[in-house]
Amino acid sequence: MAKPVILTSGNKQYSFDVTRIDRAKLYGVRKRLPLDANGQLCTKASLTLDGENLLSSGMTAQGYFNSEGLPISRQEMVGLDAQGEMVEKIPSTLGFPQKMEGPVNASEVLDLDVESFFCLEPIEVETSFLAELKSGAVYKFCFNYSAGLEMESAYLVANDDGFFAIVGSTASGEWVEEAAVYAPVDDDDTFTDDLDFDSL
Amino acid sequence: MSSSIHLANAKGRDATIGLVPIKAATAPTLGLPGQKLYFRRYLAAKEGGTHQALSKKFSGDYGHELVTSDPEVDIEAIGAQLGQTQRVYLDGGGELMYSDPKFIEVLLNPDGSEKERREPVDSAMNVNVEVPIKFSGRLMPVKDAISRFGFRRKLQLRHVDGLTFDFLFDIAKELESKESLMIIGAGDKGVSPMIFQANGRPYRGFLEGKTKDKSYRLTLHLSEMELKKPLASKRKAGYGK
Repeated sequence: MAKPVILTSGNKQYSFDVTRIDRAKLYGVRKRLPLDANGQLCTKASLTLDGENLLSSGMTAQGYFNSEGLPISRQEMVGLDAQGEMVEKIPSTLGFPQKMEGPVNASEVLDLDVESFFCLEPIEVETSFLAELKSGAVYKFCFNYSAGLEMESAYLVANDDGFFAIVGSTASGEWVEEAAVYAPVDDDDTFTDDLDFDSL
Repeated sequence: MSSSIHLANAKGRDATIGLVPIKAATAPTLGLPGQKLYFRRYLAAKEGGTHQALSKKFSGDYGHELVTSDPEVDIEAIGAQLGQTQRVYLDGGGELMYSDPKFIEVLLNPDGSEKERREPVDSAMNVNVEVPIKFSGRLMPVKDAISRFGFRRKLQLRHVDGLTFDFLFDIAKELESKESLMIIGAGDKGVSPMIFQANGRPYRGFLEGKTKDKSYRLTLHLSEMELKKPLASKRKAGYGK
């Protein structure tokens, strides 16, 4: 099991077990299976456009190369921001106390570009704090499930079913004036993983 | 994915307007300072160099052959960069199929067990069709919405001309005054899920509106799931059967 989320507020400390939740865990999954003429399961493969190579699982590899064609391992690489400046790797926050801010305005959660949702199970939490969450209070804290190059924000909310963390990075839309020109966005940029079934 | 939506307001007036996804700024990435790196896919083994092929050729353990004769390396081909490829299928016997396979759909429960098998059911895009997406008339306070639903994606509504600017500005002003999210959706009552591409995920839509001087911000928050405990967690905690 993952290490717990530990939150601090003043001189108080609360801890929760954490489990990632997604649509598949709540509702199940729809898969589409390809079958041949005999009803047997087919396997996916790729054919190079010149027809030279039929590529099955295990026949390809991928990686990074420099301009001279030499391979670069992930261990050699460092984090770079949009300006090309180095950024340090940020460790996971699980098991380490994180300061909580709040209660915050609930509409702050709407400004999040959500990456993931987690179900939190209280381990050591005052019942008064749990009651405050159930009454609608929202708290904010820094969260990194696994080590990465960016610290994400998480909001602690509650409903009748339990306690949850909503995790992501801030992203709010622009103010739009009448003179603003609308330009449709490229299809490749949006909802690329949006099919409602997994295809084998 | 559809880049526009056919929307009707509370009074039933409709218009086709633009959609722009709202995403966070690009996160830092891995690289080397001052160097441009290229991500490439390349050939690592040919058909005769896979584990199955080598096991068959050398009747099982082929470790010795790997060390002494490199049977898995085709010096002419291995390492070749791969460009675009075409998806194909191999039948149950491993042979290339020259016609499309038949597909069946399998529904799996959250615990992974099979629930049902059936002919595939296709769902059509419904956000930019003749029947507009409608206001359901149901308002939900922000506090309730964010604690009950998982808003996985959000889109900003954008006008395409002067008339649609007035249309959207008025919607934003009305929603701002109510300090709540309006539930919108497909169907006659505006409560059916929205689908943005053929066979896309169904989303419930919650519209948020704000204005500032002569500008507006209309955000469509999309939820594909409720916030609730997975069944496994409930069973562990002693809930349910």
